[in-house]
Amino acid sequence: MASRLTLRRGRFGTVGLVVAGFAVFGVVGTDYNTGLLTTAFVYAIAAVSLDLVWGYVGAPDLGHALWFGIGALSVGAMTTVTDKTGLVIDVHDSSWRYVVGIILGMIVSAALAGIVGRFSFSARGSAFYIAVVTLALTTVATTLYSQFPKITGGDNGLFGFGPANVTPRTWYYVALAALTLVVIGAVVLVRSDLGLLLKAVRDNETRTRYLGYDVERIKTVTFMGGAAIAAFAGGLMAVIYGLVSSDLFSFVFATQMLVWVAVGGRGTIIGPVIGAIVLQLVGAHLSAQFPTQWNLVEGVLFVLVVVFVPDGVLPFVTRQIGRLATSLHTRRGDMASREPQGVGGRRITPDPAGAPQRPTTSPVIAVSDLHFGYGSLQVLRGVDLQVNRGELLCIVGPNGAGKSTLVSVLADGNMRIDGEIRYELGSHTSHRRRPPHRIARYGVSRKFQSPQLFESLSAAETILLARLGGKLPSFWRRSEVVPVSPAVVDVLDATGLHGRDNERGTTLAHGLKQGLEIAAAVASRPQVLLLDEPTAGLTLNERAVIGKVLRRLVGNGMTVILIEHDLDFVNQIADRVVVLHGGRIIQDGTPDEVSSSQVVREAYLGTVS
Amino acid sequence: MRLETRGVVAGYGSATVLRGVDLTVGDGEAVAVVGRNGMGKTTLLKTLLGYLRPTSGSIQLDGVDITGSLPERIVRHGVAYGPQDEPVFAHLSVEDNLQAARIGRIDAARREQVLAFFPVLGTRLRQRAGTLSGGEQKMLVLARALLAEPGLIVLDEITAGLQPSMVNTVVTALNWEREQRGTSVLLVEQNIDAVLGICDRVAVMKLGQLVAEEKATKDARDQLMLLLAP
Repeated sequence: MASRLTLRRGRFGTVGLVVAGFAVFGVVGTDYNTGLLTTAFVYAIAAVSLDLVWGYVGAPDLGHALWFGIGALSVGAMTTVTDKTGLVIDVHDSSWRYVVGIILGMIVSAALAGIVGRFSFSARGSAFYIAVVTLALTTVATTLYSQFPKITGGDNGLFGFGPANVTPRTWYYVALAALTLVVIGAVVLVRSDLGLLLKAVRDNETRTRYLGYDVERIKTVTFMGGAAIAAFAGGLMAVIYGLVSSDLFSFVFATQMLVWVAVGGRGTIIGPVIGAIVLQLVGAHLSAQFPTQWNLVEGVLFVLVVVFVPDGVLPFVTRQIGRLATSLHTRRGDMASREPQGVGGRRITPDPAGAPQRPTTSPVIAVSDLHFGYGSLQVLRGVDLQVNRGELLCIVGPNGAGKSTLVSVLADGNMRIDGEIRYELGSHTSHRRRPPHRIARYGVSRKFQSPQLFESLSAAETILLARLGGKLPSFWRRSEVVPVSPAVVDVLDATGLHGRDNERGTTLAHGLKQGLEIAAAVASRPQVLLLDEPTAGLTLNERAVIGKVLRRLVGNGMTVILIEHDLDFVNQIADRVVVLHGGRIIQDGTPDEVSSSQVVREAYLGTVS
Repeated sequence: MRLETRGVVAGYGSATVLRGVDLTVGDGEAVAVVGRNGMGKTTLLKTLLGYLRPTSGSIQLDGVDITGSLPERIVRHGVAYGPQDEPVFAHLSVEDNLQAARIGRIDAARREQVLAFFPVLGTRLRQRAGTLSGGEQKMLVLARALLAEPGLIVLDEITAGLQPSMVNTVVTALNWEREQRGTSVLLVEQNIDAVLGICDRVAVMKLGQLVAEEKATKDARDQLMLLLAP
């Protein structure tokens, strides 16, 4: 713990040192260089805003310049008077107009981004929608710009405004201060629990949805936030230089932003800042000397980064430093440091407060005459099923009988079913048209057949998100410890996950992924737990422990529905077994009744005697 | 086909998973690697198939050194691999998945026999493989491996998610393949009964090394359970 604190203090120390360095440079630097840096700082703010959208929630905004442009135009339009042809004939000189211009630009950008996001992010849609839409919007925006010269100044743009009596050095410090604030805000955000949720959305939307989070809303709101910050940068730019033109909206400028973020390192906040500042400085100096070649160099650099360090320069450099440190440690004979580098630095701790008791035997799920098919392939052909609270129900049946489909349908009210599904979970009863995240918030938790985990999240972080169960995490607070119930601890211990809190879920061995999935599902403290083949790939011992944990959860009033092929396991743990065959339930009874039934022996076990 | 590894060390980035694996699968022999989760079983198969480059050690197929070869080269030596994750071409039909088994012509009689093992595949030839149920995809993986007419079949948890009677079919199908063509088999498996039904030898993996070996006889079951206990 002590070392972690020092590390963090070190990180903020570095940022402070860099800011102080730039502050000193504002005194000693040449006018030319401080001028360049002023622009670079503003660009860096735009780069951070794009990183939040692209690097964190994974929405490739190819037209991010649009938001920047709207911010700049808003300031320009607020402070200038134009004639019919769009020529600036007068400039307002009241300073409140600049502030209002920036705020208005942020509001308009956010609102427009909200509309775009609402229609581009969809559960069924592809990640490319947003790329195509934003790309098209920049083209539309540049065309519209020349169509409304009264507001935009047309081809000449708007110019000549800007507060008088402010020196360039002052603007240098204003831009530096603005960038520092934005970076600190962004870093706090992405290190908070909410930042975790953003990464989860980027890594695996489906899984995030089934943990109870409204993925589309999270993406849209982040997109709006990114647009607003970009508009702020644009507004600042316009105030400083007193100039707006259609170039600020253009695809070329948008591409530049993408290059800053990609070269610096997507999803790192600091990387894009470095990318924007360095490329802006180097670019200005080189393009002065080699006006024609610089663009070529920039293009080649971008290609090289994409090919050789696809995640950007900053992550590459950090990795190399980490490797160097590791090899130094190893040379000193410190074997422990050869273990894989963890992520996140969060710890799982047992929380002795047990689950609430909910003992009754009332029904929780009632399914009647359920039909469902994928296109022409009919999978469920009239399923009637009632599951009671505190019951452990096993679904068995041949491969392709429709078991996983039944579980999917239960967890997703948007699948087009015939028949009816009703929940009895407090005030929650409807199923139809309830998207997965709503059903998850009813208290229905699901484990997928093949593990669905998050590329960049550790085991502890996955469980933290599961535990929050769809509640919006804190914007600034960072949970260092993840308290979990004894049941979760047992699952983690049984499947060999003990002490591996900081390993990335996706680098775990298959069986450990299964364990983590089960642990996450249990950690979300559901009322109904849907488990699709939880024990596939687990050893018999591991199965036995999972069985015991499930029995205990059921004893506390949880309902568990389990798809399982291991009949020995089923006989040990189930209260009731249903046999699904050809999309219908052909047997429903106690484990003994079912395993002794003739039809089960023939169709399923293959042991006719 | 004979597979022989000597002192194979491999891992991901700075994490070493395999810490010196010596494994031999003789010509026509069937061997299973069992062990608790996270011990390196899947990593071993990935390394044998060329998805991971070993940092040291050697891998030979019929005496030819294939250490560090790419997967496509190794498969062309006559190895059929059924991976655990994403085992089928989800967007291709079942038929196309079967056709992808080998570059040459697929033997008609063999195809008929293989589809007789897994009749459900025969009724789903035009369906997209990604819409098959989890267990049906496993059948498709094995069917495709058999159609490849390999010298060595490598399967990662092929019985996971299969109904009990279908596990028996997998045992039957692999034994048929061994009798017919003398194919070598290497399995990573949790289902000890399936292992004992197919294999000659069982190797136990622990922390990246093969720590024990048993003849796959009925008596070995208890001994193996003991070795697998935590």
